[in-house]
Formats: sequence, C-alpha cells, structure tokens
Amino acid sequence: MKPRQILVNLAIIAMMAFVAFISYMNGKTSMIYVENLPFETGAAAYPAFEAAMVGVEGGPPPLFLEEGDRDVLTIVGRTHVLLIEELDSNDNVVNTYRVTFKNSELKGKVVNIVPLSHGKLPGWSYPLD
Amino acid sequence: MNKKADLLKHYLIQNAVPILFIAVSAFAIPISQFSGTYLVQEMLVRLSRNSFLVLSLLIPIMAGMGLNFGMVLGAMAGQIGLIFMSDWSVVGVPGVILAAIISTPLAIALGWLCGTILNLAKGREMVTSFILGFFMNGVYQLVVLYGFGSVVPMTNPAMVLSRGFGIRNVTNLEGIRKCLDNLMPLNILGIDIPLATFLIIGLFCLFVLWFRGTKLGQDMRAVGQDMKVAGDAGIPVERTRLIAIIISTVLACYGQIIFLQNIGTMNTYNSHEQAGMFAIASLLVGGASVSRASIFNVFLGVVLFHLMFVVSPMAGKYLIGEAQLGEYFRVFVSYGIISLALVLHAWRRQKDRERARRSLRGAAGE
Repeated sequence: MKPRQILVNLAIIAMMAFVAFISYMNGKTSMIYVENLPFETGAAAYPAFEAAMVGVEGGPPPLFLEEGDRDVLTIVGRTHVLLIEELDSNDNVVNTYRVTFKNSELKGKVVNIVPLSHGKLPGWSYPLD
Repeated sequence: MNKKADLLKHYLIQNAVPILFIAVSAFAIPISQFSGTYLVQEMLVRLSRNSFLVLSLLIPIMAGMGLNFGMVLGAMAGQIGLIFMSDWSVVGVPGVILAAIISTPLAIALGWLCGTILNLAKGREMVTSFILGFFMNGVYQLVVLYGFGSVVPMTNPAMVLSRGFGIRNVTNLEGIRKCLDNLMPLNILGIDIPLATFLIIGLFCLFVLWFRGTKLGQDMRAVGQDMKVAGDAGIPVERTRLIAIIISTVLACYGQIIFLQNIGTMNTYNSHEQAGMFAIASLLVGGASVSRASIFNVFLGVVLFHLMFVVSPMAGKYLIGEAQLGEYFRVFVSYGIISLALVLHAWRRQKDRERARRSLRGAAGE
C-alpha cells in the first residue's frame, strides 16, 4: 500500500471515530430526578412551588410536580433547556422559567427546580442519597 | 409482421414477472377495498423502509456475482451496531449514525470473508452465499446469545437476559424509531412523505450511477460480462469481485439500520433472516434477473412486491372470508417468485440463444 493511501485510510478512520464521538455525545440519554422542594441558602429561603410543569424543550410531554414531588426526566445530549411553568392552586401559569444547563454543571442526578429557576443557586443539583 | 410478433414475445418474456404482478395486483386491489390514499401512504413507507436494502444488491449483479444472498451478513452487522447503540442509550439521528459507524468495520470484515469464499466458488456464488448466510447466522446467534453480557460488557441490564448474559429476544429501538423518516416531515394531500430517508436513498442512487462510470465500476462490468476476458485485459478479477461484495455488505448493513429505525423494534435473533429473501424477491419482481438489474427495477419491485403484501390479506379475506390465505400468500409469493425468476432466467437464456442462432441463420440466408 502506498504511503498516501495509508494516510487517506487513517484520515477516514479518524473522521469516523470523530463523528462517532460527536454522535455519542449528542445522542446519549441520561435520567435525572427533578424535584419541587423548598430551598434554603445561608441568606434566604425559597419555598417550593405550589405546582409546576417541568419539561425539556423539544422533548417528551412535561411532568406535573406538586410541592414536595420528585419524578424522573430523560435528557438527551450535553446541553439542555428546561422549561418550568410555575402554577398556582388553580393550575394557572404564574411564572415561566427557561433555564439552560450542561451535563458538566450537574453535581449529581437530582435537580431541584426551585434554586434552578432562581438563577441556578449553588446546590440546585446534588447526588442521589 | 413476424419480426414484430417476435419482438413483442421477447418483450413479454423479458418482463414476465412484473407483468404477472401488475395483473395480480390489478385483480386484488379492488377486492381488498383499500382506498387509494391508504395504498399510496403504505407504498411510500415501504419504499423508504426497503429500497436501501434492495439497492445494495445492484453492485454484485453488476460484477456478475448474481443475487447476493450474503447480504444477511451486512444485516447482522447492522443489528450488532444497533444493539450497542441501544445499550449505550444513544437516541435519534446521532444514534443511527453511531450504529452505522460501529457496524461498518464489522460489515467490511464480513464482506471480505464472504467475498473471499465466493471467489473460491466461482459460478456458484448464489448458493454459496445462501449457505454462508445460514452459517453466519449460527455464529451471530452464538455471539449475541452467549458473548454479549459475558465477553462483551453490557451496561443496560434491561437488554440482557435474566441469567446475566445474552441479549433479550426483542431489542427496543423506540429511541430511534422513525427519527430519519420524521427528520424532514412533508405532508402532501394528507400523505406523509419521509423526505430525509428518500434523500438518502436518492443519494445512494446517484452513487450507483456515478460508480458505474468509475474505473472500478467499469472493471466490475467487464468482470460481470466475462471473467476470462477481463482477467486477460489485466483487470484483477478476484479483487474486483471482493470489493463488490464488501460494498454490497456495507450497504446492506446501512439498509438494515434504516429498515429497523422505521420499524422501531428489533427481533434480535430473526430480523436479519428475512432481509435477504425479501430484498431479492422485491428486486426480481421489479423485472431484474440474476445478471441484469437497474435502479428502476428496484423501485418497481419494491412497490409491486409490497403492494401484494398489503392487499393480499384483505383480498383473501373478502374473496373467501379467510385473511390467513393472504398471509400464506405472502410467504408463498416471496419464495415462489425467486424460484420463478431463476427458472425464467434459465428459460430466457435458452430463448436468447435460439434467437441469436435464428438471426445468424437469417443473416447467412440473406
């Protein structure tokens, strides 16, 4: 085999490996637990939402979480846009939050939507006990 | 007048199978009572699902290797890629691409194995590749049933049998179901058209057309016409045949991935078995023969063959109150048509020889 041919073959293999890696990173699904729990920092306390609809933009139908609820959400890829609709006692939308986060920002499998929707307060994600 | 009748007879002989299918469909469609919209939708879905697999058969025919029953090897490679993709929970179009990339080296290796064996069995390629498919099916089952989960690590316990190794009978492909078909949704008059899949198929058709004009494509045609003459002309016959089978196997692998993404579920141990048989039957129904096939034959064949698949159960039900007859008819048709095409091929060759002899005599007489 000529050296040029070997180089071309190696380039093809490298390109395929790169495309496979990109595909894996962008198509990999993972499960996270989303919860609607009250949150406290040293300075302030944030009550849980009365109820909330939580879903991933362009993803499956959103989850309905009452105060204190936790459910499983499937996320795909590396970057996610979470849509959180805060509901009142009559299930009317009070506030809508659109939060973007990356897999690298997750500290664990659990995501609390209360600190997340208040500007990603430290502790919005933590490992499952 | 005699010449015209002879030409007509020749045309009818050349296209006996599609004419027969068109006649049977024309009889069965009104009886089945399906609406035109439903049939058009079904045909579009089946065209997008099956065309790639059938197109993968064209290149070995060009190289004179007949119908590549060894395409099931490619289908097996595609399924192994899909098993890995499911295990790693990769979904959507990236999942399809990943499965294709994982299975490509495997398909190349299997194609090389198949091509090497077929080079040892020149003139008996079809029966050899048919039996090779059965042999490799055994190897596939051994690997998937015993290797996966023990030698090959699996991360998703839902895919593994309860004993701890071996893949379950059914692999769920819900994550990639119709991801290609729905990538560019198009709806015309209430009929959904899987545009992205058709674009891929169209690109493949362009590839086949381009490939025919390349040096390798010309070599394949020369080898297909006469191996001895091609060899004397300096064409590496065995290498050319090997490449034809490798390309066919790799394309069959991609075809099986496209097929299964449309279905959305994979019968781990059986899905590949029927891939070759149905693809070959479709091609033959389209008017192709063991030695001659075109892109038009592929599309005509897929439409006619699957039209029969769709209408026959209902036609059977309305005709004699038994839908089971239609199901029987499906299997009967797919196997029967391959036998019929092979018989017709031998008959056509005999008739062509007679015609050539007659025309030579006529020329000598003048």
